[in-house]
Amino acid sequence: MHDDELSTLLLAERPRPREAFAAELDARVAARFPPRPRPTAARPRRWPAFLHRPLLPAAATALAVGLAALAIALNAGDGARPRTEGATPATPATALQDSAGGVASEAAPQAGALRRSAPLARGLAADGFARKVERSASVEFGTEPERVDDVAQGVLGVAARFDAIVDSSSVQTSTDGGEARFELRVPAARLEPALAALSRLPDAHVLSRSDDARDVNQAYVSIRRRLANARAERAGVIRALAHADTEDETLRLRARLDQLERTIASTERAQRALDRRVDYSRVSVGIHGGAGGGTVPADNGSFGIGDAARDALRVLEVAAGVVVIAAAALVPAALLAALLWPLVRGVRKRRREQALDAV
Amino acid sequence: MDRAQRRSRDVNATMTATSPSAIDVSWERFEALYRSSRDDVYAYVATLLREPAAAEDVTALAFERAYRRRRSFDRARGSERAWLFGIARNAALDELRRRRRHARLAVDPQDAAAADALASSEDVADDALRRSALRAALDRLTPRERELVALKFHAGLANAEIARVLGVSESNAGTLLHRTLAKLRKACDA
Repeated sequence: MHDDELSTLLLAERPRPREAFAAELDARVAARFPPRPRPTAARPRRWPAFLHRPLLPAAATALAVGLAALAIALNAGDGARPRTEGATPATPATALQDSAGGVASEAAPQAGALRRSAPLARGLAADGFARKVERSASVEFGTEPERVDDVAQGVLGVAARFDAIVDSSSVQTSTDGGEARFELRVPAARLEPALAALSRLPDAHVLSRSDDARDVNQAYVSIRRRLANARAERAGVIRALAHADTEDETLRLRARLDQLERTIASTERAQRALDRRVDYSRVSVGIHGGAGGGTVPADNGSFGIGDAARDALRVLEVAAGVVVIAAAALVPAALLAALLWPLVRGVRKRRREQALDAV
Repeated sequence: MDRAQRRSRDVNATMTATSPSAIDVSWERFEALYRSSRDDVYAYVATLLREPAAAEDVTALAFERAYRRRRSFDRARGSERAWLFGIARNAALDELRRRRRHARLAVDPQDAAAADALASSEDVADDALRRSALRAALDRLTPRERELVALKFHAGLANAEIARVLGVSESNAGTLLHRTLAKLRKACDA
């Protein structure tokens, strides 16, 4: 058989599609392959779909892991500091000890920053049921020299409005400056609005602020226990005194009773003092007029371009951190996927070839 | 000039009419590729699978995959037809893997009916005998040899395109094809 003849015969053996199939396929192509249920015979893939594009799921997984790690890390970091309302990362220097005696301090050069500290001790108090927390705050204001008096009046007005007790006050004014200082005791339940009101004093801006929150629950419990013990012992001594037979015993019991009465009175005083410290928060307010104190920051609580730029920079820093962390997780995963991908393709190709040999 | 060569040259003309540097196979190019290759792909797949119904499904799937992946076509890695037949081959082999069974020889019912109707003529009877011998010889070929025949004579691919589809060198493809045809010729003459 000649080559031409063989070629002709082979061409004649060429399978031809049915006209109906050709028309149907033409229509599907013309419609650009609209979705349809995949026929049983045309489902050759045995690998899961995600293995056909391993980099995409690998990248997505790595990114998710990275973000989760970042979230966990951020949460862990937040756990070491008090939760504050409206706190912005641009005001650092916040520190808080544990609830056994915590101290929180924060430099807040912006008016209105006082409100941030308010939930601090509230969070401490909320840690346990009816925990006793002694709170105090210190606020330093700056103002113009001629405004020191006005600001001082404003402080007294706030104290009156919130039923605060003015323990001490001193106001000194002069032409080139002035200074005022107040020691207030503000009802603990009204400390937050009082601080907020102070932060809104006209003509004044916050130079610095510190918050103290001290958990005195242990001391309170200790006092209560000592008081209960003393009272119980006193009752016992009184009973014993009623049954005393001898004069010596009576004298001894009376002496012990007097001693217990003094102890009880002392302990009750300590408890009242502690209650006062818990119920009233000490607030120290300083007002500074003059060259340094009178320099009112440009923003003075308002949100300006500088604030926006700082916030934007901070957002970019955080975003960059997220990217770095995500990349740290993504790069190894991508490398692993890139290393495995040729292997997967090789195995798949070999299986296909084996399928041909098995025909 | 045989049909395979003529078809290949037409396809090359179609491809050179488009931008040679284009990586993205546009819709028009895909449509042209489809029109020039539809029957060839079916013929190749049908020869490989040896079952018309499955061949239709796989042919449709191959074109759909090619359409979906048309932007991934890289001219530097071969012609569009070689790329298309690579997709069709993978789909067909996947189908073979899935079924894991031997398929019957694809026999066009119309051809068989026509052969029966014309059996009265001596020339036609002689032609039918030769075709029957060729089918028997094709049956004795290995699947890979039959695939070579399908790519060359049923799909009309050039040796370079066959080499690209099978993943071998062009000279190796030519050698394999030569040996297969020699074996086929010997089987037909036997």
